[in-house]
Amino acid sequence: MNELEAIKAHRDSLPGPAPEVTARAWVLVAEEIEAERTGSGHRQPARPRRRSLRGFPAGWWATRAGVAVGLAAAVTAGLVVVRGDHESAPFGTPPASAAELLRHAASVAAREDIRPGPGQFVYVDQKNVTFASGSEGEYTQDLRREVWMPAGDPGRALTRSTYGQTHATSGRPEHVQSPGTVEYQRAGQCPEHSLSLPFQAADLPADPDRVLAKIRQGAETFVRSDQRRRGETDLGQDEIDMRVEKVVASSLLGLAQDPLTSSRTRATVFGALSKLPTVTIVQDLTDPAGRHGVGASLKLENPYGWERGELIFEPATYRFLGYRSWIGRQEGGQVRETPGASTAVMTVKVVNSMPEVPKDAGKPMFC
Amino acid sequence: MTAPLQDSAPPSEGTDAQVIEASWRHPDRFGAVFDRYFASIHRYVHLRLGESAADDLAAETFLRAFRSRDRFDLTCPSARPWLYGIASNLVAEHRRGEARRYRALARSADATEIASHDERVVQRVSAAVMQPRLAAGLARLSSGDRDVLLLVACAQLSYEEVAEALGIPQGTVGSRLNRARKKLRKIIGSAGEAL
Repeated sequence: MNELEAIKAHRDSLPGPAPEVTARAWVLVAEEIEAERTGSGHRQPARPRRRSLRGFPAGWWATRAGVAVGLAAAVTAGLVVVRGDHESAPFGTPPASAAELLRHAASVAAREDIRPGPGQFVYVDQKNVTFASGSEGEYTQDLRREVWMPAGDPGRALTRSTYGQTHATSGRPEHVQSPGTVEYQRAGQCPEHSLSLPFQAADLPADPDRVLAKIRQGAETFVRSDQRRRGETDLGQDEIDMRVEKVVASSLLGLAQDPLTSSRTRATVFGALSKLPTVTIVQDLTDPAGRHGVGASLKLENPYGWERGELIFEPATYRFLGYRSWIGRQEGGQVRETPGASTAVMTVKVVNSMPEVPKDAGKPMFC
Repeated sequence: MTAPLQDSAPPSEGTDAQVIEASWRHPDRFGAVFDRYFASIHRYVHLRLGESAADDLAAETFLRAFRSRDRFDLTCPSARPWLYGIASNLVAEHRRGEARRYRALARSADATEIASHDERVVQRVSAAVMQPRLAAGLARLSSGDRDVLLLVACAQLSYEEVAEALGIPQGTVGSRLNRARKKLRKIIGSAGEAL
């Protein structure tokens, strides 16, 4: 081995950057990109910082598609303090608005590129809380939902749901799956709960403005036909506009939190959501897995009250952590808000196989 | 309805020059350059200044690259020479630190020298441990010669690319490389056979 080969060999033996290092570097660049896009000019050059990431406890971070995640342990009020030998430097600045948060989240999501190869599957593991309301009362139930989506063949998708505890908020629910029950659902098996993306995701443009225009166009069509179905002939333009905006917001929230939405589509949807003036920022939310995050909140009014949807992001990396919703009602002059459905995205990765559905697996209860 | 998991025509496709040109109008596209080269640049800086410095300087390399992308020569299909040039300039700002690092790596050899043969073998094949004499040799090279040597050996750049990265004539690349290799061989001496 000559000296050039020795240097090359040494270089090849060095470990690559840790995922959190790559993620932090990307956040710095993404901030610069955002600053340029919004015309706020260049940031100051990144100051060299001394830091010892190895000082964090084992399991402090996890990897998702090559992007560092899970910095929550070091997060306080949206600010990560990276401890060095003699100095502590703030990493990232807490977003000042929901729009800024969503733009950061869009930049980060655009980098999370999950691409299954032939014969591979995208695997999504979620920790969900489902919400049900009916004659038996209202209840929530913990649920682990795993999805296997074959590359280029959504017709072979599979989910496995493992039910957990039920929590009644009113009444006494009877028709619920007992904890530990496992259900499998194949694509196409349950027409009302299909394993496919919301229809709005089809042929979605990459540009957030065009996405917004397309979703709004669809919402206008929907509101007009809904108006005809209801026989409402005297609606003012303001009321129609308000309904359209609600459908737009609801559609975007649905796309953003859908587990089957690709990272790139989710990035575009976050970008579109950032343009809605009704989105507000909420500090320190907790997803169903107990992870703290910063949220973008949208309140959707309805004749009986409202539903508030919150997209939750990891404060340092702006990675999408999950979603939660609240059901609000006016009851006897009192405002009552109860937790609705929520989702924590635990894992998204490419795997080489999916499980066989047991021969004795029954039809899902809600199918 | 189908459920496409990936958008078609991801923006990361195309040559580096095409991506950078696209990033003039769509800054997000620059992410593809980051994805392609961040790990390589990090390793390069890691070798020269250590891992901690690499964490910062690799990020700074891409910040500088993004800010100056309008000056990127679109006739160059690859961004590698440009990025390694930026990284080398950043490393140059830490020249003393680099020399100190090589000297420290060379000194760390002392323990190896007195260790048993078995331990030395383990040391030799262990990842991320530079051969002490190689480190000592690198410490004694001039910074200009070291830049050229490491861009050729570590980054695997051609003479033309090194010239582009460092902004020097190709002939100078050749002469610096020859000088660096001769000096290194002299320092390494017979131990070079064991490299």
